[in-house]
Order: sequence, then C-alpha cells, then structure tokens
Amino acid sequence: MLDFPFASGSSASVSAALWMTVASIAASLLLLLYTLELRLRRRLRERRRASVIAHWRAVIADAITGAAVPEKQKLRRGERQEFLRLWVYTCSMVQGAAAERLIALARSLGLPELVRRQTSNAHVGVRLMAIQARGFLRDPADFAELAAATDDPNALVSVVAAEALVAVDPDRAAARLIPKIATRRDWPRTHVFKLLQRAGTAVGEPLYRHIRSASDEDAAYLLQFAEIAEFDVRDALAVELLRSRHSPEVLAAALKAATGHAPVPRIDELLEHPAWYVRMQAAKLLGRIGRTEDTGRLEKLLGDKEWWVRYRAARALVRLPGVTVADLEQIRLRLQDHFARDSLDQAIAEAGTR
Amino acid sequence: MSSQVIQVIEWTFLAYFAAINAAYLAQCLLAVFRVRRYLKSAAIDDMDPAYSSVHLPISLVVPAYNESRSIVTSIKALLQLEYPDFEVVVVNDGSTDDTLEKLIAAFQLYRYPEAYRKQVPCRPVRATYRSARYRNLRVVSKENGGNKADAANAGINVCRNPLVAIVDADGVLQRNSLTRAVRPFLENPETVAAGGAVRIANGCKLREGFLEEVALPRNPLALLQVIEYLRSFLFGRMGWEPLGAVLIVSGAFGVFRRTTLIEVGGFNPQAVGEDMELIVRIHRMMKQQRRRYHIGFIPDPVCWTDAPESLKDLGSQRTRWHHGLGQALMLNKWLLLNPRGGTVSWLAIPFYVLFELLGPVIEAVGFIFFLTGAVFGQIAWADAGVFLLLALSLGMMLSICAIMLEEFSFPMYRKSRDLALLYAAALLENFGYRQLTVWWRLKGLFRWLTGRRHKWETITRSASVGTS
Repeated sequence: MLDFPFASGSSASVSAALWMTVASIAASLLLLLYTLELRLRRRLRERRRASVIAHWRAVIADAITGAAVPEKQKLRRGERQEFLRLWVYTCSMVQGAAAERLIALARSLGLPELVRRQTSNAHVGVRLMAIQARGFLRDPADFAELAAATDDPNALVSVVAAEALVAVDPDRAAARLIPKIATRRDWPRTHVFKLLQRAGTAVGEPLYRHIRSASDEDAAYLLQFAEIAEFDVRDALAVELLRSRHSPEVLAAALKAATGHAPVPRIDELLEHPAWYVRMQAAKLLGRIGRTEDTGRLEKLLGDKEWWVRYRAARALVRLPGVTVADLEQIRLRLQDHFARDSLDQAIAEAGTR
Repeated sequence: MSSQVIQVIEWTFLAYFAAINAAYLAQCLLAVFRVRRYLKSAAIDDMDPAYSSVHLPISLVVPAYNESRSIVTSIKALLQLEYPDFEVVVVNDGSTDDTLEKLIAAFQLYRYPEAYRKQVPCRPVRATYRSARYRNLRVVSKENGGNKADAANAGINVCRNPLVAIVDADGVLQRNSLTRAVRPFLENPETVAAGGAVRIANGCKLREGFLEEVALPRNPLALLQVIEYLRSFLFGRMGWEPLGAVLIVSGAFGVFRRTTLIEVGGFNPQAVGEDMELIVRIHRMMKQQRRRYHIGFIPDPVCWTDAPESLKDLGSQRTRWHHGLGQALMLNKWLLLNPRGGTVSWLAIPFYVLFELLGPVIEAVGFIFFLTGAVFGQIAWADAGVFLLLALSLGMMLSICAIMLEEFSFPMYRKSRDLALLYAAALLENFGYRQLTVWWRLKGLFRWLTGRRHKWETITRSASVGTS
C-alpha cells in the first residue's frame, strides 16, 4: 500500500489510481526530457550539415569550373552522404568536360568504392543514391551489377538502375531492357520514355521487333512507347498490327500510335467496334487524319452510349477540314439526343469556333 | 451508497482510464514506427528531381459557399502549387454573397458548355466557367445543396483526372502538398484514399495564400487546439495507418481515387461529418466486396487550416464533429465486429464507439460521480482528488507524447518559447477547456440521437487566413 500522507488508509482502487498518476507524471517528465534532447540533437545535426554542405559545395563548384581543387581533400565518414547528395545533384545538371571533372573528383575521393558498397545497403534511399551515382560514374565494370539491380522488386530501385545502365552503355542496356519493359509494369511510364529516349537510336529496331512478336497484352502495353520512332516506322507497325491482331487492347493502342501518314485499314469496322475504347481511339484518329467525307461517320458516333466516344467524335468533327461553323450548326440542329448535342457544344466551345 | 458500490464504480473508471490510455499509447508507439519508416523513404524526395517527378494527374475540387473574402487568394495560391499536372475545379454552391462575381472578375471566367457525366448525385448545375487566364481552372456554379458534400459531388462529376483532392476553400496548402499527397498512391497501387496532417494556421504569417512563417496562435483557444490537432493527427491517425484502419481523412484536404469515389456514390449529403462517413463507407464497400485496398496517411503537414477563435464557433464545430461521428458509425454499423471487417471491424470501430463516441459520457459521469460523492461525503475529498489528478496527468501525458512525436517527425515550432508554450497548453487544457469539449461532444451526441440536420457552417476567420 502507498504511504502518501493524503491518501493513507484509502481503498485499493485509490491506491491504484495514485500509482497510475505517479507513473503517468514520471512518463510525462521522461517524454519532456526526450523531446528536449531530440531538439538539441537536431540543432547540432543541422549546424554540422550546413558546414559540410558549404565546404563541399565550394569544392564541387571549383571542380566544375576547372579551377584547381585543393589537394588532400578527404571525405570523412560523417560527410559522405551529404557529399554524395550534392555530387549526384550536380551531375544531373552538367555534361561534357564539367561532368568528366566531377567524375575525376569522385574518384579522387574514393566515391566508386563507397557507392559499390552502398548498392546493397538495406536502406532504400541509400541504395537509390548509390545506384544513381554509379550511373553518373559511367564505369563499364559496373554494368553487370547494375543490370542485376534492374531485377530489384522495388520499382523505384529497378528503374533507377535501368537509367544508370543506359548511362553506362546505351546499346547493351537497350538490348537488355526492352524485354524487361513489358514485365515491369510497375515502372513509371514517364521513366520508361526517358530511358528509351536516352538509349537513342539503338532502341528503335529491337523495340519494334519485340512488339511484333509479343503477346496481345504485352504488345498493347509496349505500343504506347512507339512514339519514340519516326512517323513512317510507327505507322508501318500500327498498320501491321491493325491488320493482323484482333485484341481490342492492341487495336486501341495501334490506333493511338498511328499518325495517319499511312492509310489505316478497317477504319469503318473499328468505328463500330464493340469495345468503346477502340471506337474512341478510332474517332480520335479521324480527328487527326479525317476529311470532310468523314462527317457522317463521326456524326453517327455523337450518339454513342459512351461519353468519351461522343466527346472524341465531337472534337474530331470540329477539326475536320472543310467543316464550317454553319455545317456544325446544321449537325447540331439534326441531333435529337441531348447528350450528343452537349458533347458537340463543348467541342465547338473548346475549338473557339463560336 | 454503499462503499462496495463505490469501489465497483471506482474500479470501472480506473479500468476505462487504463484501457483508453493504453490504446492511445499503443497508437503513439505505432505512429513512432510509421514516422521512422516514412522519414527513411522521404530521403527519395531529396534526390534528383527526376526521381521525385513521378506524378499522377490530380483534380483539386474546392467547394465554396459564401467565401467571398478569401476565395480569390485561396484559388490563386492553389494555382501556384508545385505539381506538373493538376486542375482546379471550384464549386460555388449557390453562394448568396459575391463569391462567383469575384471569381469571374479575378480569373476572367467565361461561360462554357461542359458535357460532363453526372456520376454521383448533386443539385443541378447552373453553369460552368473556364478561365481565360488559367487553362487548368474551371468553376462550377450550382444550386445550393445546403452542405459541402453536395458541392464536392458536383466537383467529382466535372473533374477529369484519376485522382481527386477535396480541399477546403479556406485551407492553406504547402507548395509541395500534392507531391507529398500522391506518394501513397505511387507506393501502393491499392491506395484508394489518402490524407495528410492538418495543422492550425492561426498565428502563422501568410503571403499570397502561402505560409511564410510558422508561429503559434496568440488566441488561447486556438493555442489549445494546436495540441488537440497534434494528438489527433500525429498519433490518432498515424497510429491507425499501419493497421489498415484509418477511419478519417480530414475534409480540409484529402486525396481520393476518382473511380472509388464514383463507385461508392460520392459524399453523402445527409452526413454531418461527410469526410469521416465517406471513409467509413469506403471501408464497408471494400470489405463487403472482399477487395484489397489501402487508405494512406502521410505525417507531413500538407494543409493548414483556420481554427475557430471564439467559444461559440468552437462549440458549434465540436458539436457537429461529434454528431457526425455518431452518424458515420451508425450508417455503417455493418462494420462493427463483422467477421469480414478485419482490424477496422475489430479494433478501429469498437475503439471509436467506446472511447470516442461514448468517451464524453463516461468522462462526464465520472466527473459528476466523484464531485457529488465528495460533496455528499460518500467519497473522501482526497480520494476524489486522486482520480481527478489521474485524469489530468494521463491527459497531459498524451499531449506531451504528441509534442514529442511532432519534434520527432516534422518540427514546425522551432523556437524554444514555442515549445514552452506547447507544454503550458498541454497542462492548461485540462482546466476548463477539456470539460468544455466534453460538454460540446455531449451536445453532439444528443443532436445525433435526436436526428437534427446539418447545413453549411460559417466560422469567423482569424486575421491570418484569407487575406491577400
């Protein structure tokens, strides 16, 4: 039993309450002290970080401009991550001789060894930074390890490794990455585009070969990246797939990829396709390549049960060459369906023809 | 009253105290682990912008009713957010002031025939407008629906992007709020909704709708709410996230997958706490359909909101919140202890019923019991004092825990004086303020039980928010 003067002789429940009170006050005091310690440590860390950044920023700036970097620069243990962050950030913005000088600086500081070790670090952030740095270091000896990192289950790690791989050797990277793109649907599309663009001309032919032989599902997915190619190559591929495939996903993707420089087969059939997204892409394509004679086809689509088809058909109609404001007004008057009229009204307003 | 009865009642209160505080402390612990993990992954944001440039297009829906004073500043700020692909859809819910006229003049709006699909119910739209100055701004003018839910639904119908963020017209967002808010969707494709920490803007310095300097409010009522917000967001919500049982995404700022919003039928215009009701309904729909999903929460302070500075406004807000809590739980009672409901049904909903919904009843009964017991000589004054001291010390411990979590995660109040003020608030809130909130929550409970309806509520703004 407690021996607090004001509670002596009280019941067990009061004693328990008193104990709980004492415990909670003690816990509050401990938490308070811990909070103060956190604050103190944060301040010290921030101060140290600021001085590290100031020092290495100056060194990196000297390296970029080609000014003499003071000799015997040594990267201390506590400075490594800050330096690496600065170095990677700077590398992403420079090229040519400045980039070469940054690589030389990194080598003189033992950065390649550090990032090699960090590539297998348990902390994702550290791993990402290391992989990115290896890309900027462009050492061919790193190719195999970076290629292995593209299989990492973490999407961000694998895509960053793919980018590093492209930086190290674009040709070998393209051959290795193209079959992987269809299997890594978790890679952000913007990054895949960037990868393909960076890989340059090496990527075109293997990509198209792969699309031609891919399953319907993979072909539909990969077709979205077809726009890195020249118009004629892209159109040839789209036309070939429109002729040979029947999967709605592939047809929609091929219609999307087509630029209209080559005649598009089966267009009437596709405008009436049971899958709404095929009809929508067909209507969009007519917006790009249609002629005055296509007015009737598009007018029919204005009554489609799917909003996107109606909207795309209306936009295509407004863009058709030779279709005047008066023609559009006539079409509008003929429309019985108010959904069709709404879509046309919006498309006319968007085109600024009213 | 016999001493045995008193003993039983005392033990009951003690057990309740122990249970509620153990639950909060467990949440705090979970929140610490979650924040640690989050801070580690946040390192990615510090990398080359290329790696943080993975974006999903977002539509910001801003329901507005009689927001004439602040709407232009707020929308200008939203249009300057750092995000590559977003649109702003302002929904003027039949304002009786000149909200629409101010928008038309400030953004050169012109009427526009919009062929949108009405996928969730809302009152008829009168007109849609586009801006001649900003391509990504549209304004929907609709008949007054009487509440935010109806206006938000109109916005959901009109917007086009796969993610929809519902933002309060008087909310202040951080410039990088959208980049932060989209992370749960990028990290986990099963994410259907996500919220972020909301902080109090009173006392902060704003410029052109953005936060320039963080400071604590001078108004004592607003200061006490800072502590409440820290408790509520830092471990009240962070703690539930790893358990997959976040039940609230704040109405001030929440991001949703548009398809999910449409599937679930949008916001419920009959709901008083439409934000909580929506999230609980999403849980119910997903559980009933046995689908995998995730509702995320990020500890970053993504939105700053204006807290009421008068007792009248605060009382009305808290009454409404509690009314909404009761209603949201009742409308989705299928979830309570349902074998298919997982942690939501077996942990979160029972917690909210026992400790949040019924909490004020227990607290009020306890207070009255010990006070009357002491007055009528049934309980020794010293014993009653011990129980009151216990309530005070536990409350203070939780508040200090929240302050610690703030320091541990995203410390916003950097001055030593601010820290001292926060500790003072953690102590002082137990004298008067806490009892007042119990009273307001009891009123809310009564309103819910008597089935009162709810309308748009206008709160007197503090000087800091809404001025250009």
